Order: sequence, then C-alpha cells, then structure tokens
Amino acid sequence: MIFSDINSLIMVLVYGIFASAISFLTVYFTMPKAIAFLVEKGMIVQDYHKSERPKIPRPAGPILIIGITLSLIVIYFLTFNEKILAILLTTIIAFLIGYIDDRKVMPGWFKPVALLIAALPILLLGAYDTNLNLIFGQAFIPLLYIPLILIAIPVIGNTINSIDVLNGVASGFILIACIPLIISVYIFGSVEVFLASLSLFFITLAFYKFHKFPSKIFPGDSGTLLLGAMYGAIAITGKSELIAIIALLPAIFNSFLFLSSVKRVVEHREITARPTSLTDDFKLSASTDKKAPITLLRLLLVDGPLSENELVKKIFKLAIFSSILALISIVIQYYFVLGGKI
Amino acid sequence: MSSLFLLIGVIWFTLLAISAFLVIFIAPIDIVIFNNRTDLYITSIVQATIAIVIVLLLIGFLNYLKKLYIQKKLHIE
Repeated sequence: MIFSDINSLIMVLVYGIFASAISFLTVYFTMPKAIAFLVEKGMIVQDYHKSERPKIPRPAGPILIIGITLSLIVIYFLTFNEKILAILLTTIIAFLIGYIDDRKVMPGWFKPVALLIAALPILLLGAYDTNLNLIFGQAFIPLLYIPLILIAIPVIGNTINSIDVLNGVASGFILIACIPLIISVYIFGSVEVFLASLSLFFITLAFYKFHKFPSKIFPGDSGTLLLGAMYGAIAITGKSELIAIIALLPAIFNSFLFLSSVKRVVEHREITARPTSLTDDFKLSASTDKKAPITLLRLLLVDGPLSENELVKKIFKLAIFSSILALISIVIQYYFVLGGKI
Repeated sequence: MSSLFLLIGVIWFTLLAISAFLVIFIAPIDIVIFNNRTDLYITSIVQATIAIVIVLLLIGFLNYLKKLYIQKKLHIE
C-alpha cells in the first residue's frame, strides 16, 4: 500500500474510523435486542459445560451479517472496488449456508461442499492476484490459484466452525488472528481490503462482548461460517494467504486432528464417542476412549481436567503464539517481497 | 502445553522451509529448466504439479508428526 501524500493517509484513516464505527456500533447495540428476540421465540440451546445448564440463544449470525453488510456497503460506495463486493458476497453466501444448517440438521458434507459456492464471487469478480506471497518472495501461479481459492474458503470457514466448542473461542480466536491479518493487508494488500479487515475486527470485537465466557449468545453455524469465510476472503483479496494460514495454525491443526482421526467429513453431533467428558465438578477432561476423535481440546486436557474458562485461556495462548509467528513472517516477507519499502 | 507450542513452531518452520523451496527452486523453473522458451501455462502446470506434490508431502509429514505426538501424549496408536 503506497500513500503518495498525507491527504490520502488522512482519507484512509477517516474511512477506516467510519467503517469500523459502523460495524462495531451496529453489532454492539443490536445484539441485546437480538438476544431478547431469540429467547422470546424459543431459539435457545443448553450450555452443557455449566452446572446450571443455562439456556443460551442462538444464532447470532443474522446480526453479524447486518453489521458486515452495512459497513462493507459503505466501504464499497466510498471506493467502488470490486474486491469489497467479492468479500461481501462471499460472506453473505457463507452466512446463508450456515443459517440453513442452523435451522435444519444437514449431513456432514453439506457445509464444506456448499461453501465452494461462497468462493465463486472472488473468482467471478476477479478479486484475486495470481502472484502468491510466499514469505521469501512471490510465485506466479495463474492455474493453481483458482483451485486454491475454491479450497481456501471452505477450509477456513469450517476451521472456525470446528473451533467453536467453548464460550468465546471462535470470536476470540478470530479477534487475535485478525491482528496479523490487518497488518499484512496494510503492507501487502490494498487500502480497500484493509478497510474491510478493520470492519471484520470491530464486528468480532463487539460480538466478543456477548460471546465471551459466560456466553450470552452463541454464533451458530451462520456466525462461525461467515466469520471464517470473511477472514479467508480478506486473506485472498489482501494478498495475505500464507500469513492468514500461520495465524490460524492451532485452529487448522484442530481440524486436521479431527479429520485424520475420524477419517471422513462428519458433523460433531454424529460422533458417538466424545473427545472430552465432564467431571462431577463440571470440569472438562480428556476422553480415555480410544475410538473418540482426537481434537485440540483433548490434547490440551491430557495433563488433567480444566474448567471451561481455563481451557479457553489456553486456546487463546496458542492463538497469540501463532499470531506472533504470523507477525514474524510478515517482517520476513516485508524484507524479501518489498525490500523493506511500503 | 509447551509441547503444543513446540509442535505449532515446528509446523510454522516447515511452512517457511517449503515457501523458501518454492520461491528458490520452483518459481524460476521456466528459466532454470526450460530456458525461458516454454508457454506460460505449460510452465504453470509443471509448477502446480510440483507444488501439489510438495503439499501432499507436507500433509504426510504433519500426519507423521501428529502420530508421534499422539503416541507420546495419549498413548494411542
């Protein structure tokens, strides 16, 4: 991103503050009303990890998509950039896929396969670059890039969906992983995508207030898929693919562990042997069942049972660690790709 | 917990090593092997094939790492 003069820098700052404020305030002020509405309509689920088994409303996806749509429409009319349109359409399609899954029990293959459609706006609007930033330089991959986009959106969407197992983990994880993504898009991407990445950060920040332990609302599949798909779309359009993968490493590792132990694409609810169990004092402990899937949670619990809040903090420590690795990668890439110049 | 940090660090280092390999050896393949005389898309197909093989090898390596880690931590084969 190159700023020719101080005026363009001020303009970006003003646009950035404007887009961030819209996204943050929309979610922050509408979420309490959405919580009341969902409770009234009986759209609630039990939180099994707490002794009192509270009933928590879900999904928060519709409020998140309203905030994202409003802020991205504003950014689009300020910039008229097709990349913003591609991010918006990808996010909306991912939300719709998740919302179908929220309302109706769908088979395990539905989300990954349907999310292929969410990747199409990026391809159809040509909102990608065929030069892939590979930390130590760039690779021109016009043919390989198209299947990469088709794979990336379903993988990142489902990765965030899979990590959403405890209060605040999905939103907190995205929030932490957004920091290296925003910096990377600022350095290697474009001003328009940088504004969109700020929008994702502030929407997630507002949502985290309600989703953190103890949760007042759950995102549902619609919420997690839209956050994951938007993160992936920003990484692709902002030329920060590998940085995003590094920032999400613990979540990707969780999906890899689950898939390689189950050996098929399956919904968590279809698994009979659970990877974790609850102790009498409502702490989570690792399953001793050899048939139970291996997940990040199970590995974190091998040293002994932990409360939900302690476990969430451990996952966040891993997210911070991978984000630091992503920041180191940005510094390396900055010198090798840009020669130390923005 | 520290072993998980180490594992994530090893995966990151592997990603960097593969990135370096792709940039140094695969990206300039049209100049090094084809003497800059082949069609852009043929070069791209060759590069894509090599990159896919490398990614598959990476998945195999990660699977191996995972097995070692699981055996050590959960005592599961």
